[in-house]
Amino acid sequence: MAYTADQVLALAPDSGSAANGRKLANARHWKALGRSEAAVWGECQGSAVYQVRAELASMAVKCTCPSHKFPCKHGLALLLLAVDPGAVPVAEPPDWVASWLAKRAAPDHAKPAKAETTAGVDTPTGPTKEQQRRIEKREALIAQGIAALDLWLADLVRGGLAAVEGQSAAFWERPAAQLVDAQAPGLAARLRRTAEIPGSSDDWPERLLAQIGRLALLTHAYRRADALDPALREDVREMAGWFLKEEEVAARGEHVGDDWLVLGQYAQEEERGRSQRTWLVGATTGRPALIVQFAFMHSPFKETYVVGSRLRGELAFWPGAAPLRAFVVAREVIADPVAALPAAAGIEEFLASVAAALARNPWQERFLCVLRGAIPVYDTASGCWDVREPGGVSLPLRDAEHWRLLALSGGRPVTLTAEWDGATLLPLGVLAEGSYVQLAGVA
Amino acid sequence: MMADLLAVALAGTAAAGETLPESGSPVDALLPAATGDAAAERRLLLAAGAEAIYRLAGYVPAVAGEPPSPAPDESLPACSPAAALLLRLVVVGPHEDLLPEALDRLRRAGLRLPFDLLPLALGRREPELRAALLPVLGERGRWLSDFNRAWAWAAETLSGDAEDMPPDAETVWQEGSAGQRIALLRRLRAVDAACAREWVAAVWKQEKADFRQDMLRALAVGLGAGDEPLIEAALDDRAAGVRAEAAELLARLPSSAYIGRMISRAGALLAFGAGGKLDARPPKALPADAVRDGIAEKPPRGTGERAWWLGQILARVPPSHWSERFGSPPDVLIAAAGGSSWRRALLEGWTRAAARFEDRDWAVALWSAWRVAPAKERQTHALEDDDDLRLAIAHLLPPDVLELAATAALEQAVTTDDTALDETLALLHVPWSAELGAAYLRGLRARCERLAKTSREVGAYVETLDRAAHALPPACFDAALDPLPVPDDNSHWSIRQLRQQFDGLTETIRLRTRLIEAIPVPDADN
Repeated sequence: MAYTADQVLALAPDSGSAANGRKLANARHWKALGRSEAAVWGECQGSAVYQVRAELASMAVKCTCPSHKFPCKHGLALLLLAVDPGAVPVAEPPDWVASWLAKRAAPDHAKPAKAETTAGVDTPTGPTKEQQRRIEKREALIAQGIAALDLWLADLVRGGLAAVEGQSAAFWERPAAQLVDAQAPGLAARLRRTAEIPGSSDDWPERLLAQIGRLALLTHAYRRADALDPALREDVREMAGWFLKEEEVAARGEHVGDDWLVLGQYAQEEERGRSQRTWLVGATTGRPALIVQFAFMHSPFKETYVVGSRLRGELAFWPGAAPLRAFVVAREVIADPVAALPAAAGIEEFLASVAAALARNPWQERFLCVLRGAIPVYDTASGCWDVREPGGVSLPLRDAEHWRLLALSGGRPVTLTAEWDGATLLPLGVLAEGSYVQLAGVA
Repeated sequence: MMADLLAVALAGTAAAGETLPESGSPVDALLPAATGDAAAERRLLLAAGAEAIYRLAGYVPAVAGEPPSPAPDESLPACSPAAALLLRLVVVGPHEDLLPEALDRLRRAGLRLPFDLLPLALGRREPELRAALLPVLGERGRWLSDFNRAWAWAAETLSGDAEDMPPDAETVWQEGSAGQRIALLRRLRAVDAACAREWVAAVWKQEKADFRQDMLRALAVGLGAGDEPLIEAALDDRAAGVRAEAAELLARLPSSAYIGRMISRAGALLAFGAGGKLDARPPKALPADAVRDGIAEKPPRGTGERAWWLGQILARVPPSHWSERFGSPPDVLIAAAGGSSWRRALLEGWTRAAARFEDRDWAVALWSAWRVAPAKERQTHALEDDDDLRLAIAHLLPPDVLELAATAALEQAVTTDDTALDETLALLHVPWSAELGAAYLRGLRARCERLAKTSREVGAYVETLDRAAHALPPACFDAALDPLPVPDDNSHWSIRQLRQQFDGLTETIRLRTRLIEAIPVPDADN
């Protein structure tokens, strides 16, 4: 067995699932337990009998229970049982296990991804020798790239940040291009975003220091990725540039079914195209999800998500310590538009959830914020916008005009959805008089 | 502290040395394990990164003061969601042309604009649109306008009923914005004209010229004989704009000394000569007292001095004065002036006077006179001037007179290329009557049928389709959507243009149909 109980528990979507999984990880709750080289399976007695199976190589789990959580407590319990090789007898897999394993191995389910884009962790089928060789080659390149980046960052600090303002674009572009050559496009993109900070506001030196500090922490984490919690390792490798394909996300990521409310959307210019971010929240799970799409030049985005609509379906989340980015596996549009928002919180409660998310993934940059009882305020004297709670606790809005929000609220408390970037809120939509109105991305 | 780290980072470790300040947060305890014996630069970077995340996670929200008071409750209901959807198309585009009609329907239905359209609505600059927007902004719109100086126009109409003075009237008059003060003055005029006049008199000397002019203009509300001394004195104001405004007001006071002076000036101007011919004898020089009364000395290019003075004086004499003095109805007098070499100046002066004193009898007679102006005269004078003058009295005519003229023009345009068709239609009240709408569609079709047989020229109709699209009454919508009998000939540009115009008409009519369904107006025939 290659994994530990801690690694299993790290897969738990929340502490409740982990505790319940631990409780069920006892043979007396199980019937027909068995294991082979590839898999472990069993039937668990819950409110019905559930068939639970897990692939050992990937720790991928499937269960017949109706839980929205993934993995569910049954899956966690089965994996925990299998940590002890003596606890589960070796047997011939029954049909419902064999057919599932065959389906997972089939190329249309988990396409053998190109080595360059495979995250270097175990894929369901395992990399071929050729793929393994390429992964190792790329690892070596990235290690060189990171070493060069760390030296460049150290030089930057040695010479002092004050010297940075007024540097030409090439000052930042050269190390960024080197990172692209080193096949670490994620780090390159981070460095390019950093290049926009100098001179962009009064407090730019502080923001720049924070940003390159976090970049240094990322390279630090990447170097010692093996020691990291497996879920956080996924985040760190993705941020460096081991981008997962949707097939890989579908195969390895958590799948969550729910009624997903499309809360907001905005597009940004990118190098050679545009990106679009769409925020969703699960009506019953209350889980936030971020769908990111890219389009080259003037071509349209692949999928269309209508703000204010509801999708019933399943999302697959990118694996990580606090999974947020997702794509839609299957969906149908529900006729009724959004009329109520789940998981709305007060400002303090929301900030506590931000702290909790940062504790899992310290590099998370965007947070979905659903505020209830928020009063949008425009201070004519200072020209500043914020949202306030009746007690006066407030968060600033992003630097722009928010007249529609002010018009829709009329100075009264509303339920507001927004994206928090750690400093300001970008309003996405507002629930006023029983209907949801899109704010970001509308004239 | 982040500030200490920042100070070192800004100067650079080469200059600031290798000893790093501690942040003072729990992050300090984590760092040695992570950074070990790394170089100072690396330790600084990792410390800054950890501190940044620590501060992000520990964000402390500011505590602001009490929010401003919320918008008052609405007295008007919101329009339906279907109407809101259509209004968005109309307010944001691409169907701006229907904005006046949509706003008018909204007002008549007693509804208000949806909240999220208010910022765009308040941003409009056209005076006629602002007037149409005011009744449908609701309490929310007025509340919102307080936050943006460019939207102050919306607050200039004071809340509450037009008859009531706001309780803080005196304060507004002393301290309000120019717009608010004028709005208040207008309302006070309607309630207590004499009191408003006293307010004006009390501040007259200390106000700037622009505001003095605005105050005079506000006195037009409830204008009466009691206002005469104040306005008469303003004829000697040092600002030309104030003098002109004063002359305008006095010319609207039928019993004023000003009108009396004009009548006495005009007394010698007109006389019947031999053969029942009415002729004019304009002054050869303009006396100073006439200049004081607002008669402009210098004529515009192309007009003679004497004709210019004659026209201006006539324009300030009530036309009824002539009917009484000569004992003849307007049409007889106009006909009698037909042979005069001053005919044009006489017609212009009378027309402006009829418009100013709203004399309906003279308006009807002058309307016919302009219609039958000799072809020679129509060529020598710019047509726009004629149309301006006709437009000035059009609203005084009974609807059937205008409609008769329009129907005749529509029939005429089937066979000839009367370029004045669109101008004639422009005088009509919108929406058109069902009869006129039917006549329009009949004429348009007849013209199209001729296209197949005779020429490929579409003529004057092609310019009128856009106007018709907005003016046709709902009773004509079905007929308007029938395809036009246009020949299948795309080679001719004028036919292509007609097709394009007709597509535009179809789209507008369809949208108007939806607007009318979405915003039903009670007790109206459309």
